[in-house]
Amino acid sequence: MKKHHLKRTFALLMCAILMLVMFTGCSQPAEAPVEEPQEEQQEVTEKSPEDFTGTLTFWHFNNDEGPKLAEAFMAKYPNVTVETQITADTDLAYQNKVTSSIRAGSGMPDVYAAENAFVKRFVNLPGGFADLSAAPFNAEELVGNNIPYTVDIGRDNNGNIKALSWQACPGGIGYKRDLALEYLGTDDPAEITAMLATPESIIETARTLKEASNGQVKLFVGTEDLYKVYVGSRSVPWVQDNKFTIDPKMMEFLDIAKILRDEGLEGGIRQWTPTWSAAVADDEHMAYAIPTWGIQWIVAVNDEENADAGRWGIATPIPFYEGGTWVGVSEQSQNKELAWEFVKFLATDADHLRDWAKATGDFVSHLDIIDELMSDNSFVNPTVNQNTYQVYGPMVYEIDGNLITQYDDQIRVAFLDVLQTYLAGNIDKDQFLVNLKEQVQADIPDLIIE
Amino acid sequence: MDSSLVKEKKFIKDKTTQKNKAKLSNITLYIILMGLAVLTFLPFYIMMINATRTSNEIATQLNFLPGSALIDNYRRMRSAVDIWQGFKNSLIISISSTALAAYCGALTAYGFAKYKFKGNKVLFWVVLGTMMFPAQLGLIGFFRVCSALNLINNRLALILPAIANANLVFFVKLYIDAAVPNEVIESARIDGCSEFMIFNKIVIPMIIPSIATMSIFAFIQSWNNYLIPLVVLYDESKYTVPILTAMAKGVYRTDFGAVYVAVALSIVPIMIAFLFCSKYIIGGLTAGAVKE
Amino acid sequence: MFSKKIRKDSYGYIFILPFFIILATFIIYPILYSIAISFTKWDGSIIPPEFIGLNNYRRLVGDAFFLRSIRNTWIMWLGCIIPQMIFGLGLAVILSEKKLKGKGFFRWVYYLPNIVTMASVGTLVFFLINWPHGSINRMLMTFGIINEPYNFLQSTLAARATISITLWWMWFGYSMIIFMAGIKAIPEEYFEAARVDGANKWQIFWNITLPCLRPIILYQVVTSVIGGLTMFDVPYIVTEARGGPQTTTLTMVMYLYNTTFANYNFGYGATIGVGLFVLVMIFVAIAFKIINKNAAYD
Repeated sequence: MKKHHLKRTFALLMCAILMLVMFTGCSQPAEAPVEEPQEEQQEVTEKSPEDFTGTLTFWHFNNDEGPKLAEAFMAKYPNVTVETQITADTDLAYQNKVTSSIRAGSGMPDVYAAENAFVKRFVNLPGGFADLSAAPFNAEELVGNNIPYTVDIGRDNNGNIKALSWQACPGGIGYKRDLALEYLGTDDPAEITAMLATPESIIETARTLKEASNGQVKLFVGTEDLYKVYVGSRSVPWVQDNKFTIDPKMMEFLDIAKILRDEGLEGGIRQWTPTWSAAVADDEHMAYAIPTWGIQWIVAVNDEENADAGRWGIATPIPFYEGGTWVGVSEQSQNKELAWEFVKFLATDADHLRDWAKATGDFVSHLDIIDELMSDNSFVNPTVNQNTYQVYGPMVYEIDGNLITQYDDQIRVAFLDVLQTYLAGNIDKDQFLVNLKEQVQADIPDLIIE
Repeated sequence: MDSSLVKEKKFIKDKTTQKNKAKLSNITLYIILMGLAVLTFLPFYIMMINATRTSNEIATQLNFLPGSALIDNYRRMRSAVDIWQGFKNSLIISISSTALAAYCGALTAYGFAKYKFKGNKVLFWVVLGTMMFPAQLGLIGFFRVCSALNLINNRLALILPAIANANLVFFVKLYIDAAVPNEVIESARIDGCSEFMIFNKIVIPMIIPSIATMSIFAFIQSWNNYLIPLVVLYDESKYTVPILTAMAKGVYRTDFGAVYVAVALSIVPIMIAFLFCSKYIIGGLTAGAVKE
Repeated sequence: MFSKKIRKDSYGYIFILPFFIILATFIIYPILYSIAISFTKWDGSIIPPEFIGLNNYRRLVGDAFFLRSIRNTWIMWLGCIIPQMIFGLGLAVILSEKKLKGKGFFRWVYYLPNIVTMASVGTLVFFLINWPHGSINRMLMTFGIINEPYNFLQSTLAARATISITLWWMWFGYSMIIFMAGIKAIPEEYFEAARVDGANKWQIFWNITLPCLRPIILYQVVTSVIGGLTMFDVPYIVTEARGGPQTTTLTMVMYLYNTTFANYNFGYGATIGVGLFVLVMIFVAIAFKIINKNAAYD
């Protein structure tokens, strides 16, 4: 009797599973979004901002930035309402929300944002961003003034533009001028740049600093800040032809990080921890990796008293880049014309970008504006007492947008995790490589790892 | 006669030494209990103290005395998130889901405990089995169901599923097995009560302590639920307290002053509510009456 | 008479119906869906899952990370559940005594940790043990117990102990309350009869309280096996999702979660879930066997 029961239950279960498999197998998006040929043939008279009416929904992951972008658009387009919905990406919440809504085939907003860490994955998600290279958007014609690397990152694996950005994020090494002057004898960005130009000179400078301050001051707040610099200055991407590759630069980083840790030349503080934020205002940790936006969001917000005092300086020994936000039009949008207008405005409207740069200190991705602000000597950022466009400007052409892959964030997490064990002295360098490869293989089983 | 007197004296003597011994062991007992209480409460204390400290102080030192940043922290937290709206949302969701879970769960437990219908055992094992599946795994399918039922961005997506509280059913069934004799039900039937009336009028009062106990857990589980609201709610005006707490953190810089104010605000009401309810809830109604 | 009994018993179906409708929709369907997905390769996008038969299961049995995660979960669970049950039972017996003053307060305070979101607890612990500037390190150094900050998360023992202790802290009050509810349900006559017979407190505990609590203990062990083996939030937050050092605190659900949501391997994630489900079932069955052994079933 009982056996019978079990058998029947089992049979039922199997049927259910089979049906589910079939169901999921067939549940392709039958309602593949039909591209409406949006009045292409109409006369090409440009619509003025007032002519646009309607409501857009906009998803963003950052409460500090999202609403401001919407406000700027609504200021120029008075008859449009942008409803901004913010979901922080804590525990990957934002990414999961976007992915599940795309999968569900409904619920997506008209426009949504993607951060550098996951933008490559987002632009390659089928059903996510609309193809902006295609008609009616024809984004290729509009991006001539954008910095090439920002455009390249917004391309999917087929080379089509899926998302655009209004900012470029080259990075330098931010340091506290008072500490540099006291212990290194200079606070001049050019001289500090020279002191940090090679691995040997970095270590030498760190040792000098330690001796001069009797061990009180450490060059870097933590090894992860230096990691950002090194990762941004690789010449080989993490993944090439589906193969996991480790750029020699990273092995160089491993050696420096170990020396810095063993000799007590860095603070050992992991990035984005509260201790890390708090150390911005102290007198013990001299340098951070500071990309363009970091002046505001790493330095100024954590040391409000000195935000306008020019306590910091930016040196540029190794060009790298970090971060950035991209926006694109959702495939599911019912109002693609207006959505595109919003994206276009954010990424290409020169007047808006000039205002944005001045209001936020952002390094905008518009070559004309960059030239304009580079030559404007009155445009000085009070936090670092430098014209940031002059500091970062020369770097933008050196950044290679093809260096980033959709796996970068996963590899970063794995690398930094194994790095902690290596720096703590629990494993040697060979074991580091073994552990790293094992972890990457487990995280991304499709990669070829040698 | 004599012997009984001696016995009585001895009895009195025994009682006094017993009393002294009891006193001593009571003192040791109290010291242990207090020590454990301090250990238990310390993190809450730190949390409340941190709510009055600046983010820098929280990040760089261990604080045991209150600071002066409470109002600042509160202001920053308020400018980031609408915590009071969050309270309203959380209360709506938690109260309605707890009430539904308690009633439907008790009903189910009673059904399993007192009716010998066909498949009783098998279905009960199904209930047990579902307890063993990690919630994180069901998430993908759960989202699918919600979008099919048009429940995305709807509070019902958080209220309805609470009914399927296997834990509650399991516990209340155990309680019914132990505390509700079949004779009571039989005699009620003979008196002509309908099945539903028996449950509502007779059984519920007998099992209130177990329902109350499990209701606290259900309420707290719903109140603290983070992952599912995060996935199904889109609208900031519908967000619950835990989501807003996480949002108060900020993106670039972890504003711990603001976070601790939010965390404290979300915990202190439950602490107080529990302080007042615990006696009633754990003391129980029927059990107490029987014992006194 | 007989037919009436049957009719009465069919009321059982009505009583359990609302529960089962919800269970089927929001829990059983998602579970079946996961089982179906476990036979596929799927990145969670709208590209439909690709059926790959038992490949995921083949990978699972040889997966070093999965095997490691089973071991880790067990070790940390045992480190938590044993003291949790002892404290819970002991405190429940002590606080059920009528004479004790302030028992309401103790009951309240011990249960408090259970009302906090696990995420908040995890964050607090993360701060306390942080290297090199965490509060515990500061305290130990101020008192001269250590000279160098101790990196808790780079020592397997310290990392696991941190997680076990945190979980114990969160759950012993819960156990206590469940046991107290169980003790309440024991008819007072049993105790009275024992006292009349001259039994002392220990004898009452061993011969009355403990046997009567058998179903409650079973309940606790079963739910705790389930809760323990699906341990997630605290280790996830304390070790920043990685289960460090060197994956010695990686739990099964953490591995499942990372595989699915951080690495977009939905198919294999579901397979891990099924593996976990099977393991939990086995252990629950064992728990039932052991605890109900020799128990007089009525």
